[in-house]
Amino acid sequence: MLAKVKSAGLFGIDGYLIDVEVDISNGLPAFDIVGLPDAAVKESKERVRAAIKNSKLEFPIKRITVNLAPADTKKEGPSYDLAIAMGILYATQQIPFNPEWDIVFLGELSLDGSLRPVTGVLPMLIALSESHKKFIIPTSNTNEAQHVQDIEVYTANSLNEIVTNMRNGYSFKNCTSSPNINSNSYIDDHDYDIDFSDIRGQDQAKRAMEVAAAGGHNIALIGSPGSGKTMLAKRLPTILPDLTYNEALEVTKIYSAAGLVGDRGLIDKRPFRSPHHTASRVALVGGGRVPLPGEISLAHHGVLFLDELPEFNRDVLEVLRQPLEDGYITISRAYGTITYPASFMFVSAFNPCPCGFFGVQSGGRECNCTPAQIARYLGRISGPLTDRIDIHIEVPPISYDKLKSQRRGESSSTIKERVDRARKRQIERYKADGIFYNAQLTTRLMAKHCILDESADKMLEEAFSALDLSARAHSRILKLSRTIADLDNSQLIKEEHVGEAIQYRSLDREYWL
Amino acid sequence: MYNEKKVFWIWLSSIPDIGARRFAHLLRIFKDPEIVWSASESELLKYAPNIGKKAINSIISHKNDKNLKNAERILHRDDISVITIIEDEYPHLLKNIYAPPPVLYIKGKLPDNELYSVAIVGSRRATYYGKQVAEKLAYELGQAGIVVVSGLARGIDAMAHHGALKAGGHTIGVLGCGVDIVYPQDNIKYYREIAKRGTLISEFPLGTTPSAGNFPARNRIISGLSQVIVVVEARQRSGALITVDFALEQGRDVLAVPGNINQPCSYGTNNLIKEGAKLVMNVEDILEELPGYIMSNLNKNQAVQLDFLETQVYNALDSETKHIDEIANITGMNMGQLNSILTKLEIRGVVKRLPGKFFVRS
Repeated sequence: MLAKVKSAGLFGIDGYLIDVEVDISNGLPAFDIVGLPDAAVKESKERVRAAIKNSKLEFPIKRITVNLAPADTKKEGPSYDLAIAMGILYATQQIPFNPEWDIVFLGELSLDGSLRPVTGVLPMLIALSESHKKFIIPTSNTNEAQHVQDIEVYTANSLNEIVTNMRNGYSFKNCTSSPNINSNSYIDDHDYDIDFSDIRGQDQAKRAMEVAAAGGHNIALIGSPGSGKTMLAKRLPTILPDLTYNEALEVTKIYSAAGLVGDRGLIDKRPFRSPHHTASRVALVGGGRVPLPGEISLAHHGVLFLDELPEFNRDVLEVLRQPLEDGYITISRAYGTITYPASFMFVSAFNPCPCGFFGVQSGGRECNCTPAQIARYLGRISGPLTDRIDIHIEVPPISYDKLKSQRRGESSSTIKERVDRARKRQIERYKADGIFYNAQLTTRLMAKHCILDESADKMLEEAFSALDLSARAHSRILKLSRTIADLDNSQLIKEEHVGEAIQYRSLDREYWL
Repeated sequence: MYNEKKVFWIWLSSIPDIGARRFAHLLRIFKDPEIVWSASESELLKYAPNIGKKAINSIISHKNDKNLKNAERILHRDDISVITIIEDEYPHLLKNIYAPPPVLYIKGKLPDNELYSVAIVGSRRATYYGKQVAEKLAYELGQAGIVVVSGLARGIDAMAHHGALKAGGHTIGVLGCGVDIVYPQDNIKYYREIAKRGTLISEFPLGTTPSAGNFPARNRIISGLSQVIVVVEARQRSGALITVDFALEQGRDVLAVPGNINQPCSYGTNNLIKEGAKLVMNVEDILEELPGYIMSNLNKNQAVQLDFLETQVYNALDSETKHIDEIANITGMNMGQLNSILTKLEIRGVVKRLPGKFFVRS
């Protein structure tokens, strides 16, 4: 007796359909799974056998062959358990087959027959939503499944529940809601439990963060220990524009594939990832035998914060270069070549020198590093990497009495309003160019969109000779001026915009090294 | 002012016995030179007895249409303009001295009233050293956009004009004769150049020939037109020292260039220094006396003028190192604006940025 059941697999963050064929024939009792299963899939035999038995159903003492098609792609993970069990139950005619119900089964089985959540439900549903309309998934995955449109998703807690519903004429309940994707209403609350007004003083650093947020610029915070670099970085997502529905879906797909959605459902806040400096290359960009998304992909559409940048292994940092440029990362392994999106704002923080007190002008702490030590320390960050950082901002330590006397600054929502306005201008301007914000400007587009007025042009020229700026600073300054002009609601880039931008290029100054 | 009115100003100021003081006195009483013209001898005697019988006689004897016609002809000349003390174009600094000239004859164009001006004066028989210094200082002042005032005499005066013109700056030559008379003749090339690119000023009626008595009066205009007077070389009894006396009376700063103590040309200047005048070694010493002028560090020989906001930022720095956040607190500017002003100041070498985004005057 042959039965065909549908399930789905995951390749990167894209789901694909898998046909689970179950054949039961007479012969020596056996249970074989073919179609390039990995260990977790092979072990599925034991779970399926126990689950069926413990659900008061009959496990056939016959020769069982399961084929996972297409047979040439490697299958991994326990998410086919449910489909295999259903195939066996159909094949032994323990449940009625209804041809009107073309169901895709997803779920891992527990030995007692209950359903356990699986990873990657959202990308699988999205990928299959074109061709298939009915899905049965574990109840625990409800949150992420809710947001897919035009499909019916049924949830179940156990194998038994599914069987009972089928015997009762397929009486399942649809759990999807239809979110209104045209408005931002899918976001329930914009509240973060942190806010820019938490930070006292540091006005120039806050302004730099605002500029960074408005143009999507990568930013480096340079300052001595305890100056508030981490505090500043953590608050960056609170002033970034809200994720659009599609962006949120994209982010959630990645988290779903990594099994990190939890009970959050759609991830509607910009992610903030801050891996420790001992992180390996694989942890950062993704990988493994079956490549999983790394930190840079988990920071997609959000912020990747690397604290103590020079402490990271140099080869770890170097792998960031390609994704910083392209917005995605391609990982090749024996299992296959997978591309994960990785378009993030790169925020880094580091001390100005090994002891951390270089440039500190007050407070009695003095830097005792030699110039050679400082050069070696900062040399750990390669030129090509600093090239991709638009804003360098120096954050001085704040003394205790200053901390007390400083007024509270603007709240995140006030800053965000300005950022939103500036972003809107950019989206409008770049409609025909296929980019969304200033940091993405290419040389060709810069010539088209970064138009300096006469005095600004003169200032830039003078600045290069007077301030010893390196040539590579030129395009960064142009991009930054564009963003500052956008914040100022100005079509033309004026002198004051260029002037401000130049101040954000600390590392280009000769005094630094 | 209408030309019909101005002719009476020219007429009254051209009368030999009516100087700046008598003119001011008459103006106080009669309010308008036209009324002086129409006043009879007895009215003049009655209302203005203090100017003296001789001056009143002089007014009456000059009351003829020929003189008025003559004044009208002057007003119609293209190359000369006449400015009265009640007009806005009249140099503000000069207006406030004791006995300012009621009427100025001008060849060329008056500089902007907002510009600073520095007088460079000194001996006519100057040494090579003095001429060299005068030219250098004037050149650097001219580059800094400062008006150089001098007397178009030989020696130091000529070199001061030369330096300022070479720098493309504005220079004012104050004459002790009519503005249409070239004196001394050997300065004709400066006379022409200044008429074209600077200003020639005289309070004397056209055609007045240079006479010794005119020069002290001219000197009071030189110092009156300037904020600062720099004496480059002066002998023991030099005319330049008369300018110094006027300057002190008018409340101007007097600076002097030191010289060799054995050199008679430097006697007057060295003596001024001994008495407390500020010693000038370079143009910075002069610029320091002008509020709002700051020396650029990048280009040693160039001064920059700061606008209002830039001055605010510069003042916030005093001489201490300050972080940009502190500067923002003091000036109350927003970060964007402040960043851009600091860049401008940096480019011009006025402030220096230190690691940690601290700033200091350079």
